[in-house]
Formats: sequence, structure tokens, C-alpha cells
Amino acid sequence: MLALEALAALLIVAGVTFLALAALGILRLPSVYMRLHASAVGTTVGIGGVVLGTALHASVSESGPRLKEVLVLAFLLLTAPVASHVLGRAAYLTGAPHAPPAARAERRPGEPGGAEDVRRRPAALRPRVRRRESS
Amino acid sequence: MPDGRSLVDAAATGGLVVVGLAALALLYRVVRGPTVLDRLVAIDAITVNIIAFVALFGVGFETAAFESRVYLDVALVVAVIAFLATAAVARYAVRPHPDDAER
Repeated sequence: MLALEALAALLIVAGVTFLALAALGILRLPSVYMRLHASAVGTTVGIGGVVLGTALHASVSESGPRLKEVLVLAFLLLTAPVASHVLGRAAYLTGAPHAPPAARAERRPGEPGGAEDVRRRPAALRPRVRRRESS
Repeated sequence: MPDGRSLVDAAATGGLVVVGLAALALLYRVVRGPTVLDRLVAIDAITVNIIAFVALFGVGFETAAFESRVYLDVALVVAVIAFLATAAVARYAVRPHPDDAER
């Protein structure tokens, strides 16, 4: 029992660490896409560790394993990629700016991700810029 | 030699503090923005932190009447609402603006 409880504690600590790192990434990274990356990966692994640790603890010390922990975990693992995909798509379609080149690897103009790459997108994927003043 | 129970309790209590502080720190990104989607990413991460907080609270503060998995109902509901809210607001953000003359 001690080994299982220790494993549960370890899972909880690992999950919490990932959640803290995800928060750090969202606070510090320079563009929406990078923040989304930190958020999607970090929170999925983090909540997975926390819920697995909780489930292990509950099945050791309480009235046996039940389906609820599995349900929470499965729901989160199913919806997290969908949510981040929808967010990333929205950022791309609204033309959210990439990080300035100094913050990324240096890229020549015209390369994927370069500044005027946006104009080569198919029309459906081109950013829809809101024009406030009509000319 | 500590028994397993106190190990998990210590991990859960420490985790509560860290997760709570992380959620508070993410509020800075919600306020700062600069776009709706930046805020939405931060809010999504905050709700995941809240789910983790609820799960850890169940472990750290369980009693005979409320064992830890009782709190997972709350976590499940928060997860469902958070997913629907994120998807809905993200869809709203890409909708063409009515003032846009080209569309």
C-alpha cells in the first residue's frame, strides 16, 4: 500500500509541476500560437497526472475503484485537443501576428512562417482583417 | 518512515497552493490580452487549474462523509462547461464582422 500511495503522491506532484510550467509558458511566451502550445501540452499532461494520482489514491484508500475518475480523464483527454484546435484555427483565421523574428529562429522572407507568407494562403484561410474606416 | 496517507496529503496540500497561485498568475494574461484569443487561452488554462484544484481538494480534505471522489462530480461539470465555453467563444471570434465591406 505504501508503494501505491507514494506513486499517487509522485503523480500528483508531477501533474502540478506541469500545470505550473504551462502557466509560466502562457505568461511568458510572445505569440498566441506559442501560448497555445504551452497551454495545450502542459495542461493535458498536468491534469492527467493529477487525476491519475487522485484515482490511484481513491482506489487504494477508499471503497474500491469506480468509473468516475476514468470518466473525468477521458473527457479531458478527448476535449483538450479539440479546444486547442478551435483556438488555433480562430487565431489563424483572424490573422493573429506571429512572434517577431528575433524571438524565433531566423527566417528569410518567403519561407513558411515568414512575414509575407500570409498572402500566399488560399483565400478561405486568409486572415479576415476588420476594416474600421471604409475607403 | 512516513505512511502513504500523509505522503498523499502533503502532495495534495502543496499542489493546492501551487495550482491556486498558477491560476491567479494566469489572470495577468487575461487582463493584459492583447487579443480575445490570448484571453481565451488563459481562461481555458485557468479552468483546467480549477479542475485540478477541485480534485486535489477532494484528496486533501476528505472526510468519512465526503470521500475524495465526491468532488470529481464538480470537476466533471466544470470540464464540460469549460469546453463548451471555449469552443463557442472561439467560433464567435472568427465570424466575419458585419462592417466588413468585402464580405
